[in-house]
Amino acid sequence: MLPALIVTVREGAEAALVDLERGETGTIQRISLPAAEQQFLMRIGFVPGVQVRFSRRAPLGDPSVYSVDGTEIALRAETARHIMVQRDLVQRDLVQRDLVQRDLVQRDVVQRGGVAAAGDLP
Amino acid sequence: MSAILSSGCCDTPSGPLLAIGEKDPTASGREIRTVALIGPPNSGKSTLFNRLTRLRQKVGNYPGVTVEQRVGLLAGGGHKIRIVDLPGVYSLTPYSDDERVAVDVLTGKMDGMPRPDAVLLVLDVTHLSRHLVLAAPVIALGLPTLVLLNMADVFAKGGGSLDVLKLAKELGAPVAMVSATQETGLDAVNRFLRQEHSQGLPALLPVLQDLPQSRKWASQVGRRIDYRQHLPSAWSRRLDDVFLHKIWGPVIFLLVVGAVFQTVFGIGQPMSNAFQDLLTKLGQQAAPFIPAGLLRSLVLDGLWKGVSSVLVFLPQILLLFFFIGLLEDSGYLARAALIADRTMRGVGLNGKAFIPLLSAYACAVPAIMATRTIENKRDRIATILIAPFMTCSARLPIYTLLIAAFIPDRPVIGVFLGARACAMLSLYVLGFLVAIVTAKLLKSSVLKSAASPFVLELPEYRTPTWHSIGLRLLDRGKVFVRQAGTVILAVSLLVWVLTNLPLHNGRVPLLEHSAIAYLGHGIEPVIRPLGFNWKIGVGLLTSVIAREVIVGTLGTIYGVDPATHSLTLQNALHQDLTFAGAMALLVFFAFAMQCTSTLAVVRRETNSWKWPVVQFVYMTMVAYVAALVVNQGLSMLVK
Repeated sequence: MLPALIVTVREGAEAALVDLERGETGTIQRISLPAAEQQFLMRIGFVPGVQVRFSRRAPLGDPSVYSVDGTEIALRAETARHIMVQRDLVQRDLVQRDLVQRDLVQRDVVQRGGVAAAGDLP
Repeated sequence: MSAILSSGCCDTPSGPLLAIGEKDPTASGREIRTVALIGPPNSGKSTLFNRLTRLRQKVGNYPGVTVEQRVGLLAGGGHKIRIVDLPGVYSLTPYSDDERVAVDVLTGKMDGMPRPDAVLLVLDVTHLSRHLVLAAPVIALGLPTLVLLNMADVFAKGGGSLDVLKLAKELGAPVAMVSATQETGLDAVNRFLRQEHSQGLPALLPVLQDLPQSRKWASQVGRRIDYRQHLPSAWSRRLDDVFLHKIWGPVIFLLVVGAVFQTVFGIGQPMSNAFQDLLTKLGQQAAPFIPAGLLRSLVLDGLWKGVSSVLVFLPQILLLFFFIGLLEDSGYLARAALIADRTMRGVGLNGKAFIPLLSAYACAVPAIMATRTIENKRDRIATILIAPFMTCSARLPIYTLLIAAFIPDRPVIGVFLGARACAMLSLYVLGFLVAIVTAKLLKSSVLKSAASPFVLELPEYRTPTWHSIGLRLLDRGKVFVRQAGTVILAVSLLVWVLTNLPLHNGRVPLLEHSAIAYLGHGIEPVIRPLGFNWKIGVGLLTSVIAREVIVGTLGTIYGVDPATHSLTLQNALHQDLTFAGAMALLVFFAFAMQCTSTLAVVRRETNSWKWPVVQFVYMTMVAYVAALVVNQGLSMLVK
């Protein structure tokens, strides 16, 4: 069994999803887009209270890939600019470490962001 | 009654594969005749539908909306059970046509469709938090529902687990772990559907309109059923480090695209040609067995020619779909779309349009069928509408003929680029430019996308299976032969009738005296400004079957065999076409929609005659105006 990893998430500053750094996670606060687009984004997983990780940028710079609910979804900057997140400070430190560690963090992040705890987040 | 119905197939850490929840045992049972298959997009619903029906399915259209209706028969013994594949939806709140259709079918309000007796709800177990939201409104409808947690294999492999029995209790519906791609757990479906079902009391589930609220409910359920998210394999991430690398990403992308293109042309074209020869030979072999005269001509020049012109597309179509299937199933297609998006955005399209448009350089038919990966309907239609502007291989015979006949073989840039190559290249560029302009026009007017930002899901990399690709090839091949086949056959027969009537003293008339020649004469005033006479007109008329037909027609008109005396045909053309007229004809062919197969497939894919008609009229207009400008302009210059 994998050792349990206790992560306490401290809230960081609010930022647009597009401004996260590679590997950084944040918790979605709100989507400042018209209702229909908001609905659309929420249906594919970008729901307030859920955790998102900035996975990588496309080779040509845009779109960027975000990890939400364990799914990798690419959004263009024009969309990601309007999704506001609260930066997760702790996550940012941990993902800097080596790959094994990163897997642990990811499992934890995914679980918290997914079914396990979306409702518990502040 | 709480019982475990099945165990076996694949081992999930959580134990039983099918569990049944609470049901009212006193209600009377009834047999299932119709079952609806519902699930979110990307839940593997279509794969499951194909597996359950073994492709015994009918595709149609729901009345009033352009939503595809797929109905199939459940494979296996017992009484007939119809499966209705509903469009992929995230909720039953009717926001889109898709959701409206789903709700209408499930509530029995859809015209000409009985209310289903049961529901198969497909959810991707690896994305349960997101997909579970759909379970509440579907189960609350009160129909006997079997919840299928798809992708069980990936989920188990990634270390995911959940308590199926607990979930069944939570939902008040039986739950089965399945894998549509591996075909595991599917016996649960048969068992569920062949069983008598009581019209039980609907479970008390919160049907929430508000998504964040529904998600909260889903996460609470997730905790109660001990849901443990699977870990995406580290392999996918490592592969993406290469395939989406700043430098290697685009390099590999170009290599892959180049290899596909090269193979389709390098193998597909000769394959098509060889197949064409084979079909022609078969026709010739059969000739002695048919009484000479009108009947033989009808069978060989009408029917067989029509059948061959459909079949001859098959090698290229299947080859292209083999590659597209390979790219799609492996997961690379999504990465290619991600890389291409930046460039495609310039014309108002998105990255998913790239591969279809590229395929259109071989043949517009598979390209249009490949647009199915574009979820945004407006983007998809825009892509379908511009695909035939790409220089497909059917244009090459007439291009080669006219260029060889009218353009001198002179060097333009040293020895590297001759005038002929230059002309050919400009035709490719011309088609591409008009496609871009058309896309821009469409996307800034009638097909302006509203309220759906571009999103692209990157699935995990997987090894494609022969089985899955084979099934798809069979499906696409069938669709093409059936849909395009019937239309092409009808048009070929019409052209045959027009070429062989009116009878002259009981004999087939010479082409000059046939009905089609009269039609050619009839359109002569319209095409004269383009520099075309009635003979070219006849060629244009017959080439509505397929572009390359014009070469054969002109050959017949000039009484020479194009295969052996192409030089004579080239010379003969000089008597009827000026240089300006020939260039106008080239440009006309670059833009005009002379391909019945494409029109038939567009109708099939857009589910209405509206788009093929719009496309035909638009392309013909563009072709006419462009040819007019070229002919008039060049004529003036030459003077």
